[in-house]
This record gives sequence, structure tokens and C-alpha cells, in this order.
Amino acid sequence: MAEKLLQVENLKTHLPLEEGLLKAVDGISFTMGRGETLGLVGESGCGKSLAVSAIMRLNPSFAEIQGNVTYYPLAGAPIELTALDAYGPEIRAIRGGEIAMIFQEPMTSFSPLHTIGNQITEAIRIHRRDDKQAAAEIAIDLLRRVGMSNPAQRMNEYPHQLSGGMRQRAMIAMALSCEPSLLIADEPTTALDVTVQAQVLQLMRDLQHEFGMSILYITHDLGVIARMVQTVAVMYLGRIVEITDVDSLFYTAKHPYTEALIQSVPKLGKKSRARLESIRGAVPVPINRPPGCGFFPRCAAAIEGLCDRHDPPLIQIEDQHAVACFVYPQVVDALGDSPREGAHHAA
Amino acid sequence: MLNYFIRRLLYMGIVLFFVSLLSFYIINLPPGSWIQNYASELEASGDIVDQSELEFLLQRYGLDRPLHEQYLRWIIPLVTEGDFGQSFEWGQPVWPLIEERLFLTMTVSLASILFVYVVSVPIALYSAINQYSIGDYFFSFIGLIGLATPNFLIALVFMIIMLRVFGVTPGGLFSPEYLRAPWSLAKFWDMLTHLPVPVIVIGTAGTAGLIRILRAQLLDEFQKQYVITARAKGLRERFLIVKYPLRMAFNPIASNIGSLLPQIVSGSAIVSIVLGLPTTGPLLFRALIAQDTFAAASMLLMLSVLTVVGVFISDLLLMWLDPRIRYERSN
Repeated sequence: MAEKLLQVENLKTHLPLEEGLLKAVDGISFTMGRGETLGLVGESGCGKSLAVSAIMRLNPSFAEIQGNVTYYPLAGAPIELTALDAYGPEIRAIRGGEIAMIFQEPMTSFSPLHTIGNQITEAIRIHRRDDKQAAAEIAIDLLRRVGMSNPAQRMNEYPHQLSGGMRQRAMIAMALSCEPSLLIADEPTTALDVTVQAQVLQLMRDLQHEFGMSILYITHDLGVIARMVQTVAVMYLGRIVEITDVDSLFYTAKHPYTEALIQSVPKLGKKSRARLESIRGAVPVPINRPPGCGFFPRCAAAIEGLCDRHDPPLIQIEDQHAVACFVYPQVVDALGDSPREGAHHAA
Repeated sequence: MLNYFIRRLLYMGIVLFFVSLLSFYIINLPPGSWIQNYASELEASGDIVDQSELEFLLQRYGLDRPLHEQYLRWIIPLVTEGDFGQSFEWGQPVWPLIEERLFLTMTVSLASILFVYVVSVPIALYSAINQYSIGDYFFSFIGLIGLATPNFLIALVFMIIMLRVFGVTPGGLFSPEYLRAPWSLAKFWDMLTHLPVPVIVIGTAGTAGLIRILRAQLLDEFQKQYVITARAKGLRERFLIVKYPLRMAFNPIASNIGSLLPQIVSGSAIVSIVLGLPTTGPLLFRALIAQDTFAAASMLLMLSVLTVVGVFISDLLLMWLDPRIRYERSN
């Protein structure tokens, strides 16, 4: 395994709402090595976005965060991100500089009142060089590298003058402007149309090789996962239910939810008569959730009396393949010696 | 861009034309006329009414003509020579009568607007950043009281406090010795020292309203994605709030200046009467009651000019603030 970059241990994001406690992220653990690409996949509302915003400490201030997120910089001691003041100088040095983020909505991610150049150079001037001229040159160079025509002219343009794809390229340029070690991409292509999506994905792959950074990829799109990542963590209802490398995920998925998820993707070459599978039921809202596997009400392989009583721990059952499902005897065995362990990881 | 300016100026002319027409018509709607009021006043005080004098006045001011002719007799010299006509009530030309008052009205209004912004922006910022804190509730409470209390009542309360606590009568805009004096630096300074009370009184409701609007606007903007993007870049919170959400929140406020101006001008009439301010408010009020047509119509027209210009300025401000609007307008 590569040198450690980020370790997330038993991270929880709980939102105290009037209706009750919403356990949006309920104890997830994973580790990323330097230069690695991890995909966090799951349906809308499974907590994946809140999980990564907790890493950056960008979560809503009323959210209760528990667990540990440790960042390992190139030089110096590991930094415990969850212990930092969310508005303090330590986390600000990491945001943008060490860990950068790309957001889903290129339309709203930029301020409409400031030029693209202004918004990109701002980050450069904080983290790299506080020199207007030098920062502008770096920004123009980046805009060229993300494939924008007339980069010098684009600097003086406003977001409304750019198309969605161009804006997302500008967003990528901004995120890369300070050469971060980790790039968090929160559904970066979801709002784009398919051809632009493909271009942007290709661009990110190229840039990853060029900059040698790690990418934490959040998406609900299995196609994107297949193209972009090495390791996949499948999230369901605030928990990681399976972690494995991308090939095992598509060929030997172990968790019933992952299997169902893959079944529900249309495939080229499949008989057109065959019905496309869908997962029955809908994702429950995890407010005051009862104990037991979150997927129990929708699961075809559910075991009465076990799955609805106990939380299945995430257990490594094969080399580099961990799953949280009682269908596998190893997981049932692990329940015996509770308290359950959280931090098992495949990579 | 030049096209836009020309078009706007044209629209302003059209608006002012209709305003003049409408205000002239409405002033003449009540039954009777200034001459009849004058005659009955003379009768009431026991004077002998000289019919020939009334005839003469009727002729001189053209009050025996149909309304549209009266309008033309007022508007044509106004547009061609800048002559506002005669005030019946005062027996002298309108312009010298309202000139200084218009200036003072603008001074008080602009000072009030300035007061509104200077006070409400920091309070709204504080309230939005510290939402639901004790300070936020405190300002909300004070603000709602300010919003709900009629201005003239605040004026009266202020006068009582000034009289009881400080022993001064806070009336007018000048000390007695400067009342009739020509303009000088000393007189200007004297006016400045008299400004705070009317400005606070007139500005309170606007301040309270703006705090509510700006606070809600800021809270809305704080949730926006671009704020999170800025935070993810590692910007300092204070810098970020001023650069992005505050700037965004200023948009509706800039567009509000245009409507704030007429609100303050017309809303200050009663306060001006209570506080004895030499602005257009009290004069307009009297002119309307006395059906002093030319004086009233001229003042209404001048206030409309100021308002229309104010709206235009706020539009320019908006274009300066927001590139999207600039883009839209220049195409």
C-alpha cells in the first residue's frame, strides 16, 4: 500500500432535527494512500456528501461530528482534522492548499459577481504567492491546461458568460491551482450533459497523472466509478456496506445492495426483452433509526431475527474485500465478539 | 450602453409628463377653488369682499378657464422658460418659495438614507452571523418596535426627551439667528447640528425595515454554494462574508434606493410638520389644502423629478454592482 494520506475512523455526522436525530453519516471508516483514487458511491441521501464535507469541516455548523479524520501531510506530523476549529487558521491552510474540492453545481459554485480570474487567483494568493501578477499567470496557465480557449480573456469573464462545461473546467482549474495532495470531487459531472461529462472525466484523469494527487470521488454513477477509481466504498444509509477494488465490485459484488445496484444499471448487448432490475422500496430516512441493517426492509436475502436486530459490522472476508452483511458467516462470527470493530479496510 | 441612457432619459420624460398631468388633475378634483376659499375666508373674518378684486384674481391666474387650458398655462412656461408660475396663497412666484425648501428636503432625505444604511448594514451583518443569539433577538425587538411606531410619534417622544432632559426645543433645522440669514459656513454648520434629530426620526422605520430585509437576504446567501466554494478555498470567514454574501445582498438594496427616496420624502411630511422643518412637506401640505394649484403641482413635479432621478441612479448603481445586469442592459 502506498504512503498513507487520509484516514477516516468511525466518522459520524448526526443532525439534530426537530423530528429527531438524523444519523446522516453513521460511523464510516476508510483509508486512502497517496496518489490513490477512492470512489464513494451510493444513492442520493445516503450521506456521501455530508461525509466528505465533514472531512473538510464544511458541514453545517449545527451538525454533530464524531470520530477521527487524520490527514498525513508530506512534511510534518499527521493532523487531526476533526479536532480543528472549523474557522481557524489550521483548517484554512489545509482547505484549498492540501485538500481541494470540486462541487456538483458548476452553475452556482462561482459567485456571479466576480470574474473567473478573481476567484481563481484568490486561492493562489492565499496558499502560494501573494502577488497579483504571478497569481494571474499561474491561473492563466491552469485555464489553458484544463482546455479553455483564450485563457487570458476568460480570466476577465463572469461565470454567466461560460457554459456549464466551461464553468466546471474553471472549477477544476481553481481546485488544482494550489496543487493539492487530495482532490475531493463531489459529483463533478452530474450536472453536465453526457459528452461534456466524458471530456471532464478524461481531463481529471489526465490531470491526476500530471499532478500526482489522490482523488476522492463521490458519485451515484457506477459508470463514472468504473472509469475513474481503483477502490470503491459503497454507502447505504450513512454506512459503508462494502469496500473493494473496482474489478471485484463489478464482477464479484458481495453485499446484496451492491449486487442490486449493479443489476439496475442497463447494459449494452443485453437482450432488449429482459427487464431492467430495480431495487424495491425506497431509501428510508435515517431519523431515529432502529437497530439492524439499514437495507433489511428492501433486501431479498434478509435473515429474520438477525438482520433486523443487529448492525452488521464491516468485515474483511476476502483479500481486499470487506462487506457488512450477515449472509457471510464471517460477519456473523464477528458479531459474537462485540463491541464491533469499525476500521477494516481492504486497500 | 449609450442607447440605454437615451432610452432611459426618454422614459423619464414620459413619466414626468404623466405625473404632471395627473397631479394637476387631482389637485383640482376637490370642489371649489382657491378664489372661493379666499372669498369665504374674507367673509368669515368680517371683511368686505370686493367682487372686482376677485374678478381680477380670477382673470390673472386664469382660474376661469377650463382645466386643460390652466394646465397648459402652467406647463408651457415651465418647460420653455423654467417659470413655475405664481403661488395664489403667497402672492409670489413659486420657484423662490420652494427653492431652498427643495434643497433642504434633499439634504434631510439623503442624510436619512445615509443614516439608514450606516446603521442597518452592520446590525444586519451582526444579526445574520449570530442568528438567534441574544443580540440578534435584541435588535429584532428594537427593529420591530421601530417599524411599528409611526414616525410622528417618535418625533413627539424625541421632542419631549430633548425638552425634559436637555432643556432645548428641537424644532426646525436652524437656530433662530440663522433663520433668515444668507447661506454661510456658520449657517451650514448650524444646520448640521440640527440634522440628527429629524434624521433619526425619519430614518428609524427605514432602518428597521432594512435590517429585516438585509438579515434575511444574508442568511439566504450564507447557504449558497458559492459561499461554501469560497470557504473550501481556505478564505478567512470575515473576508469571505464581506466579499461574497454581503456583496450579493447589496443587490436588492441598491435597487431599493429608488423606492426609498419617495418613501422618505413623502413620509417625512408629517414629521416635518411636527418638528417644524422648513422642507417641502409642510408647504406642500398647505398648498394642497388651500388648492394653491401651481405651487402644489410644481412641488409634486419637482419631487417626482428627484424620485425619477433617484431610481435612475439606483439602476446605474445596480449595473455597476452586478455584471449580469450590465450584460443584459448593454445588449
